[in-house]
Amino acid sequence: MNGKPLAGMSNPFRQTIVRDAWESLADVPEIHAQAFETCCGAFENVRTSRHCDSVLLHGGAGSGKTHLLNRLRRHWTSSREQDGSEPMSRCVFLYCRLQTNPHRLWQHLRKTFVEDLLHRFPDGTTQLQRLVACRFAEGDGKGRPAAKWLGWIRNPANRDHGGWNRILLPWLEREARIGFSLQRVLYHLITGRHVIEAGAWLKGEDRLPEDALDVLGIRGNDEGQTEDGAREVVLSLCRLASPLMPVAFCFDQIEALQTSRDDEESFFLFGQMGSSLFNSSNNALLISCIQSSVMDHFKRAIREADYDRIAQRTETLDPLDEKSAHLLIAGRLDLSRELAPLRAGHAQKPLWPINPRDLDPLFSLSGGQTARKIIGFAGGLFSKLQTGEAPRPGDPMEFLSKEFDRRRDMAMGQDEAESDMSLAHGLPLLAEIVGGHWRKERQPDKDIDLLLSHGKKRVAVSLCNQQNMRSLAARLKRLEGWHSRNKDAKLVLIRDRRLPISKTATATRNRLESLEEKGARQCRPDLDTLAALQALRSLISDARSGDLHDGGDPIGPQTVQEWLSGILDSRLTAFFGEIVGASETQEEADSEVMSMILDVLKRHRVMTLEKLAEQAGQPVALVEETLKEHPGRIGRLQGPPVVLFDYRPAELLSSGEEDRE
Amino acid sequence: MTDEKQEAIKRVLHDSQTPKSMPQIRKDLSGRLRLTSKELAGLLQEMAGAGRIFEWPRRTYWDRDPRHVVPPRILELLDKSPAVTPAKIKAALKLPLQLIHTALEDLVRKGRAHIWQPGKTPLYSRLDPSTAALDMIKSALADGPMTEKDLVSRLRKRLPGYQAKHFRDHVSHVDGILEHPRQGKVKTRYGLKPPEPGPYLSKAAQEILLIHKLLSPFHVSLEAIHDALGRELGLEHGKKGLVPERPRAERTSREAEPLILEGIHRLQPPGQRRALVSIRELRRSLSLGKRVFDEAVLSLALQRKVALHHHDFPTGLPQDERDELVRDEQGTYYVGIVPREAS
Repeated sequence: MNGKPLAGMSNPFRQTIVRDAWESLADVPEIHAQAFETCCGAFENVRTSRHCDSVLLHGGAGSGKTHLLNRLRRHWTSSREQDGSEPMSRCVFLYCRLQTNPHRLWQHLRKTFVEDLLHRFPDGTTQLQRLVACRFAEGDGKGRPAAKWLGWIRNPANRDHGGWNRILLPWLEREARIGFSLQRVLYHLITGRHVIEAGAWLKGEDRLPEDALDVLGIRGNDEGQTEDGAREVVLSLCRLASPLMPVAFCFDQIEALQTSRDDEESFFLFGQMGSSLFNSSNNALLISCIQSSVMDHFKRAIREADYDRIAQRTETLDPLDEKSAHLLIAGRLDLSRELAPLRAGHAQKPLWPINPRDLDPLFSLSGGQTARKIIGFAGGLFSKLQTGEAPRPGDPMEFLSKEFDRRRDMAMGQDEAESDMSLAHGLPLLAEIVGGHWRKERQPDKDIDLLLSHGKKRVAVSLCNQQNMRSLAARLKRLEGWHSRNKDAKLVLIRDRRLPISKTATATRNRLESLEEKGARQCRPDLDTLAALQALRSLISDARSGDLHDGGDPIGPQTVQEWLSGILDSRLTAFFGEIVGASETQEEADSEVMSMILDVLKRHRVMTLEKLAEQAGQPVALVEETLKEHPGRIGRLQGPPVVLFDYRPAELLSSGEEDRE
Repeated sequence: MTDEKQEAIKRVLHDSQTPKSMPQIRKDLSGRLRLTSKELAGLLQEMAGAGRIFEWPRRTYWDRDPRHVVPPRILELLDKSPAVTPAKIKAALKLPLQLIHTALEDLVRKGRAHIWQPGKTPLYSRLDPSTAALDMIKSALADGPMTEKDLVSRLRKRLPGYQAKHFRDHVSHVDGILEHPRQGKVKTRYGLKPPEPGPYLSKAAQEILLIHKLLSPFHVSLEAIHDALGRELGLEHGKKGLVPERPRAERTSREAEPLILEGIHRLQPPGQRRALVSIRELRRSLSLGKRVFDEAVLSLALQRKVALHHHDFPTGLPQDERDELVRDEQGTYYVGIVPREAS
């Protein structure tokens, strides 16, 4: 094969990861056809039986779970009307990637629900508009089709039509049993008024100023966003739809909820949420995707009754055999416009320019491979045909380094609402990596986002990123109560440095002062730290889901954690040190041996226990004992060999203090 | 004109997803026809009399016959729950009890539903209680012997109200289920195979160990005691009677293949042939030797009878967990197994 004609062409196998069920993708319907049929069967069952149904999909990393959801999304949201006029949805489709803190599952689902409800199709309509059009058509005595209603809703001339007030609001109240604030917000979104403010409120963002709330005609909520509140909104939004137009909840990457390999609580909480959705509505279809390798763990962690509700039907996405692999490769090659003229001359060879025999090594023992591995392998073959050389395997550490930097740079653009989610999800992961002796405890209260313990020391972390001062004051008040009942724990309040506390927020300031007088400490991470934390959490979540790789085999969470602990991003370690440092008393900090250890670490930053003891001129046992007494100051990575580092490098500590001044 | 009116009424009822009352029908007709209540009532009665439409409870009408619509809805409901009372069916379908009872009687007569009456209230189920109970008992016992209490509690999950008396009744009518006798701390158990003598010998084993301790200063080994015991019991080495059945662990991988396929089926939820089964769970349920199990699993994969799911990051697992998985020659560890998708 002469490789020259292919030189310079883009490799059709470059994309190996499907990030989202909303992406536009080429599809081979024969692959995982049975799983697709099972999901469609469950969907029809919801429509006819008026009861919820569910499918649990198992598959290895890269087996095509997200791709299958993508196919279902296209199937359910782009079916044509019987008269062939406009494409109309047959369901409300939600794609929820579970890269979040398991204690904020409902809040995450609420946000995703709203974002997807406001998702705009190529024809300019949103899912919400399509949903309302279908409901109007269902209740229309004159039998006008949904497409006609959709046209009426989108017509700007009808925006001020009196019918909205007469029909929509009573319908929301009586039929959908939706509360006043939500009614008003939906009314604005459906009629296209104050869309940004209404969307933000519906997603649970608390940044809306009083005048925006006035415009929407609703009142603020002092409590801020809570899991119960988010659950209520999600269930209310479900009631907007009817069993004839079910709500398809597609949960992807359940395994990304785990903060560590042994974390069972996150699966338990997912089970509770799924069960609650199943029990509280009559029009929900739950499709949950999980990696085969965590199946045992998942089953063990969740209640049997919850499992039964989530897994009314189970399906497995098998590794692909040779026949399916050929279809997959041919599908990709067919899509390439550059290749089309060359391929036309080889009509008898559907895989041209790839030789089918070159694929044999993929199917040696177990007789199957995941779709991602097949695409990656074919990409390598294509590249070899282009250049005459097989692509050299990349260095995973270099890849991780570049990925971390890329993700951190991207996260520099995240806003304050996103940084709160980053903190909620990222802090437990950070504690897992640099926490050393610190152990994560079960969340004791809804206002405590992370509880760390070491011996008798306990540090309770509360995220206080409320933008609405009333919500912040209410949270601080609850924290005062909690702190007075749990005096043994040191309370650390974390607030994004970009979020000011307004001068007029007297109650908030007073409560903050009062908490600080009682020993609570404030910690204000800057954007660099938050971006690094976001990069860390997204890397670990992708690794846990098997979605992190550089063309070859996926890079596992353990490798990522080891790499992250090896590079020890100084901002992140300093941030963690600032949190756990709250547990240290003045006497502990002033210990003589400790001063020696810190002196050595100040010069070398990171070193093994033995080397440090040698340099400090102290026995190893004494150094170890001292370290145990100062869990808030010295970081420790379990070896072998045991590696020590200063949580708060001097240069960062001083700059942080200057900032505070 | 009357035909036109009847046609319009029929169309309204045809488009509706539920039976409609007279005022609802009148409202739906308002765009096309104006009918007085009296006139509409007359037309509805006439159409119902002629069998063109059907009268439903609470003075509602539909173009679908309740005798045809209600039974499938009940069956759908029964498919989701193991056994349900008529009152629950009534609440779920929002239909009068009378209609439910008639439909249930019809379904029972046709053998499509069964009555299960553990207490005062009858429950209805898709499963024939005694057949289902026996199947469940046999399937549970395939994993090994169980006590009556454990069996009853397992059956109660599928047949609400299932009690020990039902169990004894069901077991007494079937061959092949053996009652293993009680002795000391060993409770009465039920099994498909004769009891393993091991649990019954624990006291005797303790006594033998005491004797071994007593005689060990004289360098009497356990093997010597074992030989003496054989002589005392009138047994000789090599006699077939000592080995009543070849243990599972000694079977060849070829013999183990059907056992593995059966085991997969048993561990899958009923009717879900595509549910992934954990290799660990399967291994534990079969008690085959590790080598035999691993070879049989890989052989089934090569024959394309099953698909294997690998673990992406086995190095992150502790050694004991890794040992429970199946490893092929290339070092890939498999964590799940499922019968292959029908092509």
